[in-house]
Amino acid sequence: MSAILEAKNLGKVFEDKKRGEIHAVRDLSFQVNRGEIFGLLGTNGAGKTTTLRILATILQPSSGTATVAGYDVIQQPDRVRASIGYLTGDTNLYTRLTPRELLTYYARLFGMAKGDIATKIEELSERFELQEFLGTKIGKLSTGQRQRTSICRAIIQKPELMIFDEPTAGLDPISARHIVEFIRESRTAGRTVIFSTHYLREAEKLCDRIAIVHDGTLRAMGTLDELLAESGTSDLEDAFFHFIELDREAVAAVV
Amino acid sequence: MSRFSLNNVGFIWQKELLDIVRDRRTLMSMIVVPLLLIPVMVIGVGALMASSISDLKEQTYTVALLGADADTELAEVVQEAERTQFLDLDSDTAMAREMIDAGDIQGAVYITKDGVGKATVRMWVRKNRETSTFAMDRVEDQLVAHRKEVTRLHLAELGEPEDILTPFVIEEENLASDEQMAASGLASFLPYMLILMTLTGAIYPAIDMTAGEKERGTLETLLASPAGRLEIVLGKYFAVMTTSVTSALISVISMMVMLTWGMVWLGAQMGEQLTFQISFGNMMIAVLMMLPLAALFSSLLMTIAVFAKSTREAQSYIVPLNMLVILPAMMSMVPGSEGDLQRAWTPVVNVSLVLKDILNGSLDPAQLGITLLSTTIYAIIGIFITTKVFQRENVLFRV
Repeated sequence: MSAILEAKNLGKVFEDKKRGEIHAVRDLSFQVNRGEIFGLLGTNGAGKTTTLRILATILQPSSGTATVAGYDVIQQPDRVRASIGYLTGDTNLYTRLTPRELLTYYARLFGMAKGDIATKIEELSERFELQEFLGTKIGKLSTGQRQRTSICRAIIQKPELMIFDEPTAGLDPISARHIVEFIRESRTAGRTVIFSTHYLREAEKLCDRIAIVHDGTLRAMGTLDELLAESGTSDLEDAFFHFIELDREAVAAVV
Repeated sequence: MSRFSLNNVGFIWQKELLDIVRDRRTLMSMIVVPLLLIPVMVIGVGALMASSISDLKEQTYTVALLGADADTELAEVVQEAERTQFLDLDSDTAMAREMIDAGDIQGAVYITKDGVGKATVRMWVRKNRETSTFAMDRVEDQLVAHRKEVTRLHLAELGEPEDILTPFVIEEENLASDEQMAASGLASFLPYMLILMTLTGAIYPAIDMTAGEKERGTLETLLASPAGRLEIVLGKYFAVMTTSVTSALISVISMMVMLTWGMVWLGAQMGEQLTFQISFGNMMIAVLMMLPLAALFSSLLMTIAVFAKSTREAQSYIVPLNMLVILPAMMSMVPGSEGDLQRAWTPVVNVSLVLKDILNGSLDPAQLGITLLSTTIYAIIGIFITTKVFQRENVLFRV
């Protein structure tokens, strides 16, 4: 399988007046293959969001390189952004616009032709059952309806790679289910998704491969079976804590 | 490197404007406030003042009379003052002062005579109170008229002509037209209002499009779209500037309507003829002046607001800027302030003084040119800084 995303030795350092340098991501390397559902699993503050923001060209890496759909995130950020659909769980939408206006706005930014935009909106609204409220202001929609609108926005231009940052975080179970079902469907449709989560069950159910990140570094990567075999555990939760504990032991040994 | 797309700037500009016009708070600051504030401030306050002055003129006042026995004839003349009641307090000056301070009476007249029998009338007035000033003006008018009559009689007794006291005549001729006279007060006040409206119209949109987007989490999604940072910041910038210019334009139109018809109405209320005309050309110059100023305000507001994490935080950041704009904008209200080529380089002050000159009908083209040039330069520097700030990750994503 060919890789759609390759990250090599990615690093990101933030400057903080009080805390000094914060190494959010350190020497992170991995690749995501086309048609694969790839999960970044880690606790809060592990570096997942920063990694995905770098891949979405929202942030620039302090070190290392990455390519998305063959485009360099530093040299060709506009090409990278044109190739991805980006969604976060805490993303809100413009509440004074209607879903039709919002989708049209993003479709135009993606350079879609007028005729194609109308067709695509019809297609998506049918698939995600948005027809009834396409003309209703987003502020008046339910959380579930907003979440479906968000998904439509993220995939309006049929992206080669979908980057979802904790897409279910903070959502009620019904709203979260829309996302989970969409990722599951994506796997069947052969689309490529990289998403971050700290929900172990979500990663277990959805991912072809999982990368466990902690303190900004990659701790382990592989299929569920590979992770279980490497950790000598019987489920992902035990494996996850195994890799985290390993890290703590390593730190303790150094200190 | 990102390719720059004007289309994307246009799409973002359109979306932001659509978002703005659906927001009641922005509509209030962009349209309703500039449309109503100038007429309300000028005509409303003017009508209120005219009505108050009329009331003050009609009102009956009470004034203390002291020392009436010193010159009973003069005391009788004093008491003929129109719509004035007199309270005889003999010579109790302490009581008179106490009553004036307490506001029970509006003033006092104290008559004394010197050794040669010459009368002195002391008038006690509290000049910080309009009622006291009006009351004592009536008494003074009465006394001046009486003094003139006594003088005339004395001259007649001496067989001297009345004009012996007037060896030459002083005549003052006001070269200002009625319009210029009506404009002189407004020329001080209106530039301040116009500048303030231009700023006010931009504040809420600037906050909403920067800190507001960060707070709501919509900025991150936009940054992940194919639109480049420069396209995003320019699209937003032009939207903020559009609201600011709209606000300024509405203020100018409101000012024109108010000056053309409102002043006539106000004059009628005051029983005076107040007319004021400003040429279309001068109005266009006033609008032209507001364009670079709106551009400058928009860049300043966006640059400041984008540092904030929330709209509330942004509002607190913008308070000092308000002060920095209000003070120089008030330059037109400083007595004697006039534009010159040096002041034409001082931001905001220059626009304030040019607008004042436009309203006074005494505009210096060189001053206008430098003001336009300097404000445009400042606006370009402002836009440059805004775009640079928007490129900084530590501003957009503060740790």
